[in-house]
Amino acid sequence: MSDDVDTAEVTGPDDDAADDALMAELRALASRHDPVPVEAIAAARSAIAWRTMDAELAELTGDSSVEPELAGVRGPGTPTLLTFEATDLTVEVEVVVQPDGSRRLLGQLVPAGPGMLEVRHRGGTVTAAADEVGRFAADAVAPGPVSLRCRLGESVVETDWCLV
Amino acid sequence: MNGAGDAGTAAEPYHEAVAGDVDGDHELVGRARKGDQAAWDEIVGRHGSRVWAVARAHRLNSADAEDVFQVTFLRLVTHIETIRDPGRVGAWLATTARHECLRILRRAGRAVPSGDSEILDAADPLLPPLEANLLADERQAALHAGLARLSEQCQRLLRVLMADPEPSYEEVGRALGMPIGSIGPTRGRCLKHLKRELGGI
Repeated sequence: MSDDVDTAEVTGPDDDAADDALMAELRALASRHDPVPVEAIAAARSAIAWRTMDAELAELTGDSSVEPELAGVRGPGTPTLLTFEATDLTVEVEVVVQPDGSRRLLGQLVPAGPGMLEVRHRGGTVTAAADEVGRFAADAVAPGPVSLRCRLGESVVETDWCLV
Repeated sequence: MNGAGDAGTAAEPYHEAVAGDVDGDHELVGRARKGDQAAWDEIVGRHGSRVWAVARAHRLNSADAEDVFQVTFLRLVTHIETIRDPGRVGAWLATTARHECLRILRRAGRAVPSGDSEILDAADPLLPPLEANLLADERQAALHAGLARLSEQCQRLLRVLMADPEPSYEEVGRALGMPIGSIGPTRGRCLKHLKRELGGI
């Protein structure tokens, strides 16, 4: 992109003041015309309720939907595979978009083993049990932010929030 | 930043005490870590407009922008114990919001902006169309129309800068993947183009 020749001219305090005034007008336009929706602010304020002290965080380390090498082979109905990793547990989740728009989560705990899961989502909480080989399924998950709370014996792991 | 002896000697010890916390974010994060709802509300109030502007600058529609907004603050709750520099929580939020915007764009197969001048799939407007009652305000209508005629890079940068309160250049850089040093000059050039579009109205 080439700079205009006229941008090289020296700007003075008057130009700076005029720029700031124009910027203030633009800011007023956005504040009046495109404010943060009140529902979004209310939801964000209530997010602090999800603060927990008793769980280890499993961070999102893999997302098949954003891996460039898969971009060419992905169709609209291709499930997304998410990977969350904590120190001693990996949670793999396949997200399947259902015809009604809800999400079905098919998961695998690694190392394989039984556990109880709570899927926290916009519509509430869905519980699921992982079987002896660590597989679990959760239906009717609302699109939007999702986090899984996994209880395995004494330990509790929570995944990072992720849009599904 | 300013030269030595800059009239601030009396404030030096105080400045030491609040170094890196000029906005009070460090303290707010500290209180939110203990579950202080008022502190958390203030973090949302203070940074919400900036997070929203990041989503809009990536041309997300309202539903996607709300998802980004919500997941960004949920992630902050999850990470609030461990973020390294609470005084720079704004930069953390800008980085997280941009990351979530890019995930939505990639999932939808839309073009992903890479810092500078790449054209974004302009399926969603930077600002919603003006409602009839605002069209009556000639100046606002002119600003809205003028903004839409600027380059993609200018529209995105100005939309982020339109957040209230105004983001720091570090936050803008994180929000758009731009080098901090290029923000000031680009802002000046974009406003100059906008003035030209406005034709001195």
